[in-house]
Amino acid sequence: MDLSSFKEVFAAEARDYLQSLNEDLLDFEKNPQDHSTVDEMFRAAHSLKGMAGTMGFDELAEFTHEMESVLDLLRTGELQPTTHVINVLFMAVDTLELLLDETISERPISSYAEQIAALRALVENPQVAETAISGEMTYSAELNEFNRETIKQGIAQGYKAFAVSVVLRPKTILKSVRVYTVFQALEEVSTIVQSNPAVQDLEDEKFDRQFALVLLTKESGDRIRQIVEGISEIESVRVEEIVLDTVEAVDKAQDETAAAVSTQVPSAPVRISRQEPLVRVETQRLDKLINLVGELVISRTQVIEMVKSGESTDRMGALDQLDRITTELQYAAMSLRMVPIKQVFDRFPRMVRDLAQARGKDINLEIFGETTELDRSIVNQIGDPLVHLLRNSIDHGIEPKAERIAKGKPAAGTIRLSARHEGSHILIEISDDGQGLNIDRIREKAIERGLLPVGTKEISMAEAVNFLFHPGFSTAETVTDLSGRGVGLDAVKATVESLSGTIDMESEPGRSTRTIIKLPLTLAIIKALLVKVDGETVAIPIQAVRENIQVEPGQIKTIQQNDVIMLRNEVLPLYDLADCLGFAPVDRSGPLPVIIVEVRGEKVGFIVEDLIGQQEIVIKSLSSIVGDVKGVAGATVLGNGRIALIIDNSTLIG
Amino acid sequence: MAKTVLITDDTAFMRMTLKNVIEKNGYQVVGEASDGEEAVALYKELKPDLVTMDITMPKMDGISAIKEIMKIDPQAKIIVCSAMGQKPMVIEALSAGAKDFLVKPFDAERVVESLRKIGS
Repeated sequence: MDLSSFKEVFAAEARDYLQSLNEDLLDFEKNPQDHSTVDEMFRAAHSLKGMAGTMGFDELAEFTHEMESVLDLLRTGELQPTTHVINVLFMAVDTLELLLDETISERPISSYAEQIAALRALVENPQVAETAISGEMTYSAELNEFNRETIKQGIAQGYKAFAVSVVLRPKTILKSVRVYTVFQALEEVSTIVQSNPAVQDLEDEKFDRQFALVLLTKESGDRIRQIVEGISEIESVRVEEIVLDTVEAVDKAQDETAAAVSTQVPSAPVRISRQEPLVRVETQRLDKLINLVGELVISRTQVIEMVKSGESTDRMGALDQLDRITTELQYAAMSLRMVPIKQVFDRFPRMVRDLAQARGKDINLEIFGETTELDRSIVNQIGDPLVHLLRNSIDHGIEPKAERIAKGKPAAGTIRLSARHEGSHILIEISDDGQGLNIDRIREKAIERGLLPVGTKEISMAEAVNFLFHPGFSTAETVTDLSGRGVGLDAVKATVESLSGTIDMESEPGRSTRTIIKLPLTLAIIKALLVKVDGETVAIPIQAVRENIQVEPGQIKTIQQNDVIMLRNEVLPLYDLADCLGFAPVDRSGPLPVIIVEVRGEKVGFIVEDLIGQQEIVIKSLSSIVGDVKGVAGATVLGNGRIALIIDNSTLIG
Repeated sequence: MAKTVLITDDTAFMRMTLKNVIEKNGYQVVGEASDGEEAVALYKELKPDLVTMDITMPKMDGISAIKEIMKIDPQAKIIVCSAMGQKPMVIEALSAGAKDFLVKPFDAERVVESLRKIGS
């Protein structure tokens, strides 16, 4: 039996299973006692195995089988859901995703021996896995609490950071004093940033035999180990260099974020982005489309009959019906392009979890309005800006746990992500209850950058936000893998604007930050202001238009050979739209209609010949023969069959 | 050449026990002090490689003696010997410059480990 034709269906369904595995795993981590989630995951893995087996995708089936075995042990309670077990399962889901991509795209299958071994280790020896982890657990718990910022800065200043794990000999007398000698010896050559258990607990001997330290030093790891080994009653010591986050592709939100110090979980390699060759559409929507096409055919027959017989009795009625049907058809067709924003949001819980874990922060991600629909092409592009904003919140917004408690905030930070419709727009909001924007720091940075005169004492929140969106502006002190890698908020803004959207940010210092992205529902149809220029019709996207005014030729002034007009005490540059587009300039004898358009944040006036009115237009791209034309975003076909150019206001004037 | 050790304790019994263990393991006991003052004086005179220092002693206690010796020789290698329940004093001794500590009753292996690690 040839199954290749089922491949795409298989892929789509397999991805669904993987997504639900990911979601269930997140739930399970929060609530490990919930057996129904484990059952759910077990079923998903089982189904996936069956499907992969049927398709003859042996590697996929084999890997799923290993995962299923682990889930089975969890289900029967033979394996305890420790952090390690859950991390291994997350790794397994990531690996499955890669394996699936490789299988579907018929690329050579990589070896996942390491990942399989990690799963098998859990199955073959659940107890050992557990005890082995209990040591590891204190270890990672300690990392979750250390002051990441200090480490980061230390590393930037040329120090090395080490995690030192020390085990005392059994029956050590005066354990706390022994720990003291370790501290004393290490403090001669390093700065101890964090200890686990906390110093107080060590002093009170509230620990067994093991404790771990994080320190900054200029010495080598070997030297550190030697120093500790030179102390009496030490059974063993392990020194590991802490490398702040390894490779992490900016554009791959779901990438495995390696924890600060590698744990025993092998990480899944970087995934390759994929294009969905198939689109799944609700049957209902297709049915509606077919119905409308049916009505259209009937309407066509009516019109043809009408023309043939020459009767003019119900001409208007027939045209009205045609109008109604085409409008509905337009919306029905559009709705096929609409997808719920859930597609983008779905990957965030996992991403936030991973990043929060790596940063040692507790963060709740709340998602609202994930069923809100918007155009597929927007959905595909809005992911990266949202990832960037979420990362900003995790990295800079939400404070470390201790700081939050000191401020009287709940230990766990909250990031809220919501989407909702507003008119013909969709609003996406990301807010966090972190430390908010530091206006002073932004002001200092702006002065440093020469964006503000030296000595500026105060700036408003709005100004501060403006600076944040300024190209290359970043207040992050050191470059982290997250923010501050050259692509800052300006990149986010650019993407949003390329989608004909706007972005705004507000913050209550010390309490919260909120970013609002406003996007059009669709990019295919826009509202435009139609104007006449040298006899041609030109469309200006309405979102850029601020107002239109009438200007007498005498009101046009010249500054350095450039035309300007005064509008409510503001001097605006004035251009002749015809001239910009290479048409014959307008005759300036009488009153001139001027459209005020926002271009890159500045108001600019354009003289036109005449105003036609507002209309919804369908954007068609220019033929590739013409290529990109400066100042022209595309073209549209007007009701009368003529073609109108659509102005790209961002590139119209140089 | 064998490393030289100065033993400090106010009881002859403890000095004897320590000396026994230390010499059996290839170290040379070059002097014995029964109080802090004596220890300081002997340190100046003998310049031993290692010193064991009891805490509670007449005339000058061990902690003061450690401080004095550290003044004479900041590189001095002193192992403080304490009884059970002297934790705060052990910490004081360590912060004064002692390199390691032993708790009575002595365990021979621990004594040797300490000498070896501190002496190296």
